[in-house]
Amino acid sequence: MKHEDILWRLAQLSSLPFQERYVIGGTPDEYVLDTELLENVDSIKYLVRRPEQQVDFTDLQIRALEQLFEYVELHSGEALSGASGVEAAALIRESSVWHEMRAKAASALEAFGLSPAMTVEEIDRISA
Amino acid sequence: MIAGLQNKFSWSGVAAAGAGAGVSVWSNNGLQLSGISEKTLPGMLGGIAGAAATSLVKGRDFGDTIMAQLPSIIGNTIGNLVADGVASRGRSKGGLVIPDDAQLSSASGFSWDESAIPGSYESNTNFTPQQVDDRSKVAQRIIERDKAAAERTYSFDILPGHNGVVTGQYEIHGGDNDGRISDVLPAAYDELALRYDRTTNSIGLDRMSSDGKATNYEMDAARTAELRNEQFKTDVAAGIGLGVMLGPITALVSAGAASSITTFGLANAANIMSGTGIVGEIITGVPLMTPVAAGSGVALASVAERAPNTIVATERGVAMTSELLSLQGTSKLAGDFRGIEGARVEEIISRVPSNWTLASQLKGMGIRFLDSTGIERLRLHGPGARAPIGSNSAAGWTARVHVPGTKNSYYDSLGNIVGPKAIAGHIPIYGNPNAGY
Repeated sequence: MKHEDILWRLAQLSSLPFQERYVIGGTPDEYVLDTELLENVDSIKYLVRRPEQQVDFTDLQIRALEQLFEYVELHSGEALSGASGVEAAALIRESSVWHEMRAKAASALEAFGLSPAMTVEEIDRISA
Repeated sequence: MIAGLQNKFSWSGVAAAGAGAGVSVWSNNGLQLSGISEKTLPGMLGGIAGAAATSLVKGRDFGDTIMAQLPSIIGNTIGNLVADGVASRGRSKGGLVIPDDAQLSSASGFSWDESAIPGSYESNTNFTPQQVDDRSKVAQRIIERDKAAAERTYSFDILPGHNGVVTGQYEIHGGDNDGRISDVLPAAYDELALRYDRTTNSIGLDRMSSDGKATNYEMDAARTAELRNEQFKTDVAAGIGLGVMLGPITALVSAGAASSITTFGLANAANIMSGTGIVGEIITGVPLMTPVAAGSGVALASVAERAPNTIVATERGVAMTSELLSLQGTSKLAGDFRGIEGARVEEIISRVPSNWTLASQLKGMGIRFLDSTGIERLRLHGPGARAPIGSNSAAGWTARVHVPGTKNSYYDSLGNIVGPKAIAGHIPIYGNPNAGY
């Protein structure tokens, strides 16, 4: 699996500015769902966990990803519990669950040698 | 869009009311229910008739009225429906009109059910005048769509001893699997056939070789969308469709027809019972007896989950019947998701290649399919209250089709590649008001 297929997912989940622009501030014509941020990360575990893929990752990277997978799986219900856009925005900005997910995604990014302090435009670029 | 309907429709209202109904079809003989005996009819017919009466009295649009009365109509119908479903287990489809046929029939006044018409498909004898008329109607209907491309004059004659009708230029067939209109003047060794495919409910073009074998089926997305829209209107007018898509299993349980579901024992039972999941496949009338829990994020495909009369339920309450899942890979368009805007979940599943693996969404209300390499390729997702108002995702169920070989690009319903945030990449499927009805 190419690392670039993973990095954009981590970058989007790690960045509050990205989430502010596209999840909280999304428009009907251009938006990202909070669910998608989590699903996009969750879906790579099917790939990362394949034995033949293990050689593509360092132990540090695997560990960081697994910690993120576990946290997302355990806490995504709470993270997605907002019943409206307003509630979702408050959760994304203020809840400890979202803070922790962003932190774990940032740690995983660093394990791949990327700075989590990317701008939204940079994240857009690596996501395309 | 059906004027005056969508803005009055309440998803939660239907779900709370308890839905689950049969598929009603119009045929030459009037209203029939697919796989459902006559005793189901009075409740639904009564309801529909009541809606008509209310429309007359109050001067309201019939469609508005029937939508307003939908819960009570379905409520009156559900008991008999479930009983019929149990009784009809193992019944062959012979003599029954399958839903897709029904919807085409209702739109065209034509029944594709050859086996129900004596002396046609089975015995290849001549057609009755009524049968000829039926075929003429559907032929005209389909050919009219083709007029812009081919200005021809059509006439209709019986093709003696053959299961078809010859027009000035075309031969029309209706078979078990599809309906086909073939140009009877082959160009070289090929002929072009206009085909209505029952599995995908699509109209498209087949290039026919001289030995009659079809190749290169190419769906006509615009015509298919048009046909689908008419089906949708028919469904809504008949009191089915959206309500069926969101009918809670509670309705079945309260009808006493699926007692095993009362002992669900699943973490997601509450979601299913409250109707936040979809149980659209109840429209098949097949009794749902054996619920199977699906672990979050765990691939679901297994022999047990594909066993007959089984509900596969995800953690967030998306319920699917094993009958639905058995459709995977059955379409000749498998792997091709063009034209799925407005498509029923049955059609979409039929287009999923058979070697893809079903998985539940993590915590979202949806399902996804992974290809043989483990890459997520298709996601079906329920309406999101947190999505931007007016977006496809907020309005109803959507499909996301990932473009292979790309990081984060998706197909729109026409097969164009769009970016990850584009609304067109969140394709509205059946029941989503943004599907352009």
